[in-house]
Amino acid sequence: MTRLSWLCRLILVITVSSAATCASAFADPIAVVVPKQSDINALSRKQVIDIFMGRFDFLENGQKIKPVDYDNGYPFREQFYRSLVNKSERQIAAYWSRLLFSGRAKPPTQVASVEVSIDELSNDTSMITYVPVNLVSEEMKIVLVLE
Amino acid sequence: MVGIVGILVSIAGSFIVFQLAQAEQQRFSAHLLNQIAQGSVKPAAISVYVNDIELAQEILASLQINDLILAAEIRNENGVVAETSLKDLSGSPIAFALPHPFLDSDVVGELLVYPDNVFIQSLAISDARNSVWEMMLVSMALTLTMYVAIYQLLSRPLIKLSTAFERVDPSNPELLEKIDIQYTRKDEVGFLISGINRLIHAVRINFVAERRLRMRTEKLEQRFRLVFDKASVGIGLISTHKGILLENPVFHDIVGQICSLHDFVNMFDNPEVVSEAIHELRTTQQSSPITIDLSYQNSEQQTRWVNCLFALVIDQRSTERNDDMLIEVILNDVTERKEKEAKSKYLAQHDALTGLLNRHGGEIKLQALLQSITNKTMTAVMLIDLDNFKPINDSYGHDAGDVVLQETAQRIKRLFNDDDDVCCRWGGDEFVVGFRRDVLLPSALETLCNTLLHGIEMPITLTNTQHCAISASIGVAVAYSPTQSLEALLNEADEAMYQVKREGRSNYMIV
Repeated sequence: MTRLSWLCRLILVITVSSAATCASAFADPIAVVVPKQSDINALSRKQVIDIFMGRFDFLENGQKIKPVDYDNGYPFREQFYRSLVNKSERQIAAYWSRLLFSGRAKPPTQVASVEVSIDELSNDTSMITYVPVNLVSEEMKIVLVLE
Repeated sequence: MVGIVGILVSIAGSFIVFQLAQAEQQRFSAHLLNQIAQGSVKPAAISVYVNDIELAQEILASLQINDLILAAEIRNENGVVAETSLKDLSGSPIAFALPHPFLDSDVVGELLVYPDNVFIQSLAISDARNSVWEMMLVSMALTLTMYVAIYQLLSRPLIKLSTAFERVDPSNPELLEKIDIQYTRKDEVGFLISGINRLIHAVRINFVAERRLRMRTEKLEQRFRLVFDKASVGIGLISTHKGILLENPVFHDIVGQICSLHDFVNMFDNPEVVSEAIHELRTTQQSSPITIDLSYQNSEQQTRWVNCLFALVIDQRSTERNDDMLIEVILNDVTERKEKEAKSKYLAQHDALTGLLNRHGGEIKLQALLQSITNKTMTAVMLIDLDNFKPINDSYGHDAGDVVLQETAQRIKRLFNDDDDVCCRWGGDEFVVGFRRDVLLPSALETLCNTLLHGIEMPITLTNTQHCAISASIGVAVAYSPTQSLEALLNEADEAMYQVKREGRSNYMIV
């Protein structure tokens, strides 16, 4: 019995580690994060889409939310949108340019790097952004992981 | 007519085409509308997604530009996001679901499009009308062309043919002319014309031939009728079953009002002869006629003689075998000839002066008398010669001699007046009498001779004033058997008579 549970645990470890190795070989999973102080604990994929694609700037509870994006061509930005809405950066740009004239919906604020976004995050609790999982720090709260 | 039918057909066709074209146009409009609206679904979805009313308005405005769309509105789950100013609520909108721009399974709202039914309808109608006009024009042109073609190729020749045919007068087939309408094409009409002409020709030929035949038959019949009616002989056709079938006037005059064969047979004095002749015809079936002379009593109870010819008529046309027989009867009145014959026979056998048989006639009758000798009867021949006849002739003249001869003959005849008795003037003043008596004793024969002598010797009145008397010498020969010849008997009588003459005349001698 004890020996069998060990064997199982071993197989599990091998499987998980090999999966992790695999993921890190291409890209790390991206985590959607909010400041540690935020009331939000978890968000659905749909909620994340609605926030980043400009549908809402408020959550259901009336809490204001402000998405932060990265500049065009920033590493893992492509990966983020691909895994979120299965669209390329170019398609995302086209989407926003269509809404540009009316000015009703605004694209998320774009920052130059992940350092800037993390910095902004620590200043404003209504912020929401995304970072590779390995860059998640103590100040952040993961609300969704995009595999 | 053809034109009217064509127009009616094209009108009916137009109606169908109109309906089809209208339906097609409406379907096409709906399709177009659908395509246009589909093009706006994605932007509209985005506008709803980001709740961008301006964008929605813009999209609706761009939709409304389209003639097919009367009004449109965009709704999200909470209600109307945007709508065009014109909104026909009476019409039913076409709804398009607006999907979540990023999540296909999610619907964020809907796009309602109100089609401009009035416009679509008018478009459909105008389109259908155009189609109908096109079709009408084409079918009219086609009908006209067909009509002209049919008229040229068929109707005109047929009308001409019909007119020409009306002019043909069937009441006078002899003057039938062929139809000529200058139609030379070898098509159905041409065949029809040549067929009609052949028919006309045949009718005419037949008619002429028929008429010629009829005229010939009539003439022939007339002649036959003439021959039949005007024949001097009676001609009749008699069926053994049905009686007299046919008779000409002469036949009718002879036989009178009778119908049956039985009456015909019995009108003659010897019906059995006629029956026999008919029976013979029937049994022998011979084609050669039977001729008989027959006598009958006419209406004035005079005896008439007819030469009857009976011939069997074999009717070729009658195929049924029955016992009915057709007899042709030809009656030729021969009364005159018969009378003449009788007269000449009489003249040949009688003496003109005395009316007794002459020597020739006497010989015949005497022969017959001798033939019938039996031993129960007595037959005798008597030779009577007048005594001294020549002096009477000389002294009183020949007329007186004739009167004496006539008177003597009368007296002989008066005594021998039985049917069988034969009295003849043998020549000059010589008479022969042949007679037969059932039973005659020799004395009775003598008495007879004496009576005769006395009778002859009675005075004879020559004129009112002159009288004379004459005696006779008589020789009688009695015949006993039929083998005795007349000549021998006469010789015996002659011998006896001369014996009397030698013994002083005015007596008789029986041998």
